[in-house]
Amino acid sequence: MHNKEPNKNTNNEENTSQVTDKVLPEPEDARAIANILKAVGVESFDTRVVAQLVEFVYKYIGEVLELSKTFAQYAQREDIKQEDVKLAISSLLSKSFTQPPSRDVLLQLCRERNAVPLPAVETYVGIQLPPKEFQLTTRNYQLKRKTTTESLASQELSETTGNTSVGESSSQRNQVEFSTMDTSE
Amino acid sequence: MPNDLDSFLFRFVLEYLQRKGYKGAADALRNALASEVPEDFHNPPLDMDDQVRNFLEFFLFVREEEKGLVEDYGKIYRWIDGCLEVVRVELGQLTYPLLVYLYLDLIRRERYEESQKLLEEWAPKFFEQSVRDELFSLKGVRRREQLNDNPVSQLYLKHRREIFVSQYAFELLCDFLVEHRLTSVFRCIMEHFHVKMEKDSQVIGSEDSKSSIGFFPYQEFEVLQKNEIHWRPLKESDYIVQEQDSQPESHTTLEGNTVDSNEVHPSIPIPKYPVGSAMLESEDDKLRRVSLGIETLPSSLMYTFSNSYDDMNCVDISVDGSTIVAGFDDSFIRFWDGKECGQYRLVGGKPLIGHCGSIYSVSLSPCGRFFLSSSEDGTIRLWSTKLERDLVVYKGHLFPVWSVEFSPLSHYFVSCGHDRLGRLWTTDRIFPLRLFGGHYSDVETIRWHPNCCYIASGSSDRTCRLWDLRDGNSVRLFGPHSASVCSLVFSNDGKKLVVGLENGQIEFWDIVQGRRISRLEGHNGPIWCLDVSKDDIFFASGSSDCFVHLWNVQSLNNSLQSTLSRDQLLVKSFQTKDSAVYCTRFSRKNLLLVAGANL
Repeated sequence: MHNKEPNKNTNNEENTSQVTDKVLPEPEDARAIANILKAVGVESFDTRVVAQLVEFVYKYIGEVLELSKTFAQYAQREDIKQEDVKLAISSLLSKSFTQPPSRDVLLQLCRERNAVPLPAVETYVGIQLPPKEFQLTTRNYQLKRKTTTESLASQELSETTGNTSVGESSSQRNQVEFSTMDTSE
Repeated sequence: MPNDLDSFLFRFVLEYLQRKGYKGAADALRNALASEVPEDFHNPPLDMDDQVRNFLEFFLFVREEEKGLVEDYGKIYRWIDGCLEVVRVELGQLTYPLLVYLYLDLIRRERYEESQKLLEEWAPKFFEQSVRDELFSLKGVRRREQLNDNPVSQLYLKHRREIFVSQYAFELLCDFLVEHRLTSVFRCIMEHFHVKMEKDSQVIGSEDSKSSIGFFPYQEFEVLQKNEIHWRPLKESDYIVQEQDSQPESHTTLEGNTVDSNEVHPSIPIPKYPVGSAMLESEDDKLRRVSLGIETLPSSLMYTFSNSYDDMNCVDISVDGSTIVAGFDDSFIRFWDGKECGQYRLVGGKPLIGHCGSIYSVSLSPCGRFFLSSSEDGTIRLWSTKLERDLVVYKGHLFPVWSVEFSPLSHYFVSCGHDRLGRLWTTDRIFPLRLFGGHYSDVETIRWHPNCCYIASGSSDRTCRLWDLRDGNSVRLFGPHSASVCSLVFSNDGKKLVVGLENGQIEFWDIVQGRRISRLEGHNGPIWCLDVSKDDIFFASGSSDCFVHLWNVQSLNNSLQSTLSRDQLLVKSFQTKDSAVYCTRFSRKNLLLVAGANL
């Protein structure tokens, strides 16, 4: 539960060992975040939530300020102005806070997609799966075939050495190459 | 005198620009006319055109009157509260939207302290009703620039709010506003509301107006009411391969639904199954189905999951009661296979790994051998219970998918999610075939109609919609509800829709006529699951308040009241030992199966 007074600790373990522990006051940022949460209407929350939000806020503001510094430098200014910050926020908007598309875009998409008639269905038993390349159970490797020069070279080798174990040559022949197949993973 | 007129006009234009917020233009004008603009002025010069003069006088008058908007709102609120019952109910539709619009107007004019004061004083009055979330969202709008980003403010500003009042009530309101000189409020009403006057005051029933005061697209509602719904069950020959199938009859009549006697042709291509197929109801199911009645209540069986309240999000039980699938927060899915229903201890529970986010919904196919899962990572996966692994990934939603359901005839499934769309898929295509867009907020739940021609979706914008699968259009709008929709179920005859809300209420809608049949205070918590027995006699609802209630549908048909008390419909109430109920399902033989997680 959330600590209201900074110097009060609710952890049972710390209560017993008060001699050794020194209770640190709650940092201002954490208190600010807690107030924001209450203002939005969240009544009860874990302390971990506050810590995560503080970290997120630091990271986000850091990114925004770095980007606005770049913009200010581009405009050959020493200090960051409000316009730089605004520009930085709007450029980072699409990267971090994606939202579903607006209603007009959605309705347009729907119209386009719904104009295509539904495909016919054949009678079958069980469930129909998509073509093999879209299933997750396809094999995602390919077997590499040896070329003729390589096979000649290995034959020479085997002749000169005299003894080749069956395992070696067969492993040379069936080199398995894990090519990156485009599965739907 | 021309000088007076000019300076007056300059001042007027300057004030107008400032009021509308065009600071740049106002500054430019002020700089250009530095000496000629008077500081302030009271009366327009006498030699102006009458009409223009009236307008200017009104403008000045309004300018002076705008100081105390908060008190003005208070006056209106108290007056409406003190009116006659009938008038109060009608004008009560006005109070909440008026608060929102006044607040947005103040923000637009950059009068921030006043706007905060307005909200602090008057918002708590509306907290008990369904609009608490909207108010919190509006509280976050503190600056003019944020008006465009906030979804609630956009919703209110883009659409004019419709109000239905009788002429008498509206005249009373106008008289009050003029008498107390609340011109700014009057202007706000004229600008943002669409007042529809009805001759008699009984058009809007008192029940309806209490149901929701938030946003609702009334115009669309009126338009959609005119659509015809083909609700009858499918002809058996359309989805079962008959023995004498020699005549080349068209399997799919896509031209339209010909309503011949009691059945309907499917509007979308559906698969046909041979008679003994696992997808269909078997003869055994029909023979052994327990016929329910007031004397013969269904036997019920509950599976309780321990140590999973924090984790478990969804459960599904197959229609023969043998397989249970549960989805968890740690992106695992577990399923249990009971060989016959009624087993007291389930074996299995191996975690299936595939998704990368919490699982929000699972749905078993009618044959019980496959299931679908939808997750926070925006994908839907098809799993096989025999192979114990996933087979296909369906990507389309890029945002969390809240619900997925297999069609009763398999082959198709629908999903809905945070992106406000519902999608229709077939198992053999990895892209959706239809997109159902129209909701104003996330779509929480989606269900198939028994004849596979329609889909109902319920959303957190407090409405439900009925969609036609062939062209993807919305054919009905059900609303407004008093809270966001959590669960839905169609009655087996296809005529009724039962809606479970987040505040524990259950609403019944007649699909064919598009009107609300009645409302019921069902539970003390959100209703997570609903199901109707196969013969439409009972329906069961389960909620997070650890109860499963069994209700009688037939007495619903007989009663004419719009709000029913619990006792009228409640047949039996099962209290679980501290377990929130996630899934209630009537098996094909009318056995009530329930699954829940122990708190």
